Amino acid sequence: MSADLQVVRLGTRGYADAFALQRRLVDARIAGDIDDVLLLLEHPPTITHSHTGRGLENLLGGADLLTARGVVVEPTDRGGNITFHGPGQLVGYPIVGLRDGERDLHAYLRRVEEVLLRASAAFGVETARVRGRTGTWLTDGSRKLAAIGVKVRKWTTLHGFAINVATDLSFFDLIVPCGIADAGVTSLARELGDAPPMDAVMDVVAREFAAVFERRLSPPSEALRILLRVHAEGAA
Amino acid sequence: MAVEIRLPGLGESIAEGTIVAWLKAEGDVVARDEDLVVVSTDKVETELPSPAAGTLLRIVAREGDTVDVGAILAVLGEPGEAVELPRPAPAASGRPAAPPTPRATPPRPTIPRATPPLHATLSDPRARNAEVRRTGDPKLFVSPAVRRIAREQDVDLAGVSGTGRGGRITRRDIETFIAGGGAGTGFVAPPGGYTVGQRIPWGGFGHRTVSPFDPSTPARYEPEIADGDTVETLRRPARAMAEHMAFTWWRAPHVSTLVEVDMEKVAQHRKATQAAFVRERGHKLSYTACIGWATALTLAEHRSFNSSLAVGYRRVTHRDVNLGVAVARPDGGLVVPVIRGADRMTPAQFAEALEARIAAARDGALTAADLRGGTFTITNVGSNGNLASMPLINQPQVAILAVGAIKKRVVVTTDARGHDAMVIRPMMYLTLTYDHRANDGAASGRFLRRLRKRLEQWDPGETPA
Repeated sequence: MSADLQVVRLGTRGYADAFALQRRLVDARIAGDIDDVLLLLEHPPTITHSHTGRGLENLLGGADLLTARGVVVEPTDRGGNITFHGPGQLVGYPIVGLRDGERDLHAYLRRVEEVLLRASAAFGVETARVRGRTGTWLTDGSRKLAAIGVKVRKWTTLHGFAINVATDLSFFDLIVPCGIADAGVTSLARELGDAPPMDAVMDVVAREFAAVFERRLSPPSEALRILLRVHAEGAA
Repeated sequence: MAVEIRLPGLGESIAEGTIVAWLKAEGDVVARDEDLVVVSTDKVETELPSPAAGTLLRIVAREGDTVDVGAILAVLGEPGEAVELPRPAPAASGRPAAPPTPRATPPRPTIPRATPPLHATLSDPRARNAEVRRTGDPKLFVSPAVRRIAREQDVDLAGVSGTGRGGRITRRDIETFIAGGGAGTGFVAPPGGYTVGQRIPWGGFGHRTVSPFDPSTPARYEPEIADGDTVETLRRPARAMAEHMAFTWWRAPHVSTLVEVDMEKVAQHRKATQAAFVRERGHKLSYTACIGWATALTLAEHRSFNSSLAVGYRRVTHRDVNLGVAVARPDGGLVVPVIRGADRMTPAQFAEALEARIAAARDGALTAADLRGGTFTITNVGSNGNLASMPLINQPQVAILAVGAIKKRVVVTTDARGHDAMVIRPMMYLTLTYDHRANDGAASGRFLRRLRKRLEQWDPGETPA
């Protein structure tokens, strides 16, 4: 029997706001108050790095350059190195309670990669995994299309993935993405010459996520809607 | 009843995890299922909940440590309960748990002298190479984190000994490897200490980033400053000495060997020639010059002490003997001017060069070139009447000689017919401190024996073999 997955589209949300919402939902998911959730959203220009400071050495832009480009820098507690989020990038935060048989951190990463591989293939961009470099890459390994950074609490996931749909890739010049200096980044728009609509990419990602993780898509439960409302009021 | 908390299996292909942060401190009361520690592996961070309720008695794996699955992270128990040193327990059934490696057992040393340097705990590289030969590919044993470090630091993994499961190279192994030959002086805190997120030089490990949980953040070790205490920031050269000594102690496994030398012949030679020597050259033939010259000749014969260790356990054997002599400056600093090509000099030439360096040091007239390129160092601890000392090595050299005071003592001599007699002789202790990575006890014994004979059978006309 498959469990439920409820997809919530948040539009464009600030990083700190979305982070606070994730923590609220993770607590509720661990407590069993809600089912699995997939948050889909975009962030305003934001550079995130590990709260331990790891990755800060890969921040190339100085404070004035970041300000000029309207980029905020936020610490985060996900795994992985520094990365950039911004308009045109689809960010997915799965709040998923991993069940018996799913409790393998690397297997989870590989399954998220599978979602991203399938989604980009649906738009005609072939990507692949590169050993030792989590994320999805053009098949020649030269450029990364999607990045992954995850945290797991009590076998419940937060943070997640970011796939460049029509991201302004010049923002990535401000960092060494994920600390990998010898490869670049790309987007669906750059590979296709024309950006698919963000809504269409979100549809495909949600569908493939449910398929790979064997979850049944369902409308948000009452509990989830209450939590979202409480969060919105608290944030306002 | 103490409970050992171990790194659980986090996935099929996950053999190790890195401790990101402890959420509890030693002595804290912990509830069952309460989050205890944050562990990262590849692109995932995860919080590990406590498997039981109790008091956190001891944290074994420190923040920043990379430990194998199954290794002990901490011990939980009743307040005040004695903590036995955790012992490796059998792996949990059905899980490919590695036996905890010895390095996970004791709390990580910072710079303790009594603890053997990390190199001493590495497995025999030959064993590791055998492992590689059996399996064909050394990279089979390498995690992405280790591979990344290897790429960034340009390390050939074939030269790295693995201490992990099946000879696997762990993050600690490669960091140790880099540290063994890496540059950097480290241990430098800017005034006011570190700030979180700052990149700081760290011993031979290259650089690291200060985390908010950093156990080595100096604030933790700050002394209390009372009324009437004075505070000054050390500046060069005192600062340079502090950094260098901390680094050398951390880097090299120091061993000291002491030998007693009868300086009768040297003393007689000086007595017989000193007046003429001073008349001709304007300065004395000092004991330090005699000992320095004899040491240079001995180094020319025992070249493993006239060497350095470079990255990748490569021994650099220096062609020239460039002898550094530690000189105290009037302002309290310490400098080590270098006498180049000392093994090709006569005692008189060596004495003249030494005299010039000491004068320059006293006048603050030494140039950077005078201080560079030393291959061995002599330090004279006898000038204040001290008998012996265990000096620290001057990096990147592999040995240093401490010269004690020459004192007249009653000693027993044996003549050619086997008759013992008590005589009064000028006696001196020499201490050789050497880096045990570069030389062993037998080699140091031979070196000291040769040096002692050379001084006891003093022949100023001797030239290097």
